[in-house]
Amino acid sequence: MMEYRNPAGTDAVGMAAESVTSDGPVSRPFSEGRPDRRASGRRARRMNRMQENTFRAAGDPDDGQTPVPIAEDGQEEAYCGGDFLAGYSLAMAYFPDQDWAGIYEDEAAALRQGTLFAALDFPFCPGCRR
Amino acid sequence: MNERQKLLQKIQACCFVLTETGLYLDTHPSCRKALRYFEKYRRMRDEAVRQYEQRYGALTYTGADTANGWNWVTEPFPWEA
Repeated sequence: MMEYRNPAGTDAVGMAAESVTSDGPVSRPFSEGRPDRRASGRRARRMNRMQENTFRAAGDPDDGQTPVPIAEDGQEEAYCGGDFLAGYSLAMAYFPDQDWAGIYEDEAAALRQGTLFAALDFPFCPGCRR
Repeated sequence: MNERQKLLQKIQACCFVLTETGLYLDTHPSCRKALRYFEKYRRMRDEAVRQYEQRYGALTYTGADTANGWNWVTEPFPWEA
């Protein structure tokens, strides 16, 4: 049975993980994936290093020091991704499934709020607390 | 706000609900509650449009009355209400 794993040998955040096999995901026992205190420290240091590397690799394109790759035709090459985090899995996104609930029954109120769903009603108000 | 503006606002709000419900149905195409809600607001919207066009003339091209010429340009536009 072929097993696929993150090339780094661990998941990106070190939490309980699952291996993906050709038969589908197989969860590891929770105790195996539970981070211990030393692991948390190692993880934090690793994340810090990743963050430092991110900034180092990205540089500041306007600082006059960051080298910009030049193609043969003299044009600046477009940035097409870096490999400073090679071995880590790409970002994983999730979203919960919306259900039909919390409907604004007053259609004028829905229009005013900009949404029919109370769960999606997030007034744009930077710094405000609801 | 006069009656015409109130009716326009009603149509606008109904259309908004239809858009929102339609987006929800895109990802939940068999949700009966949402389907019923969509139907309710489609009827409400159709009735409001019918009332508006009967009283104030065409709301869009498709509501233009061709029996007495092209009333889309001979009557005030909806945004002139």
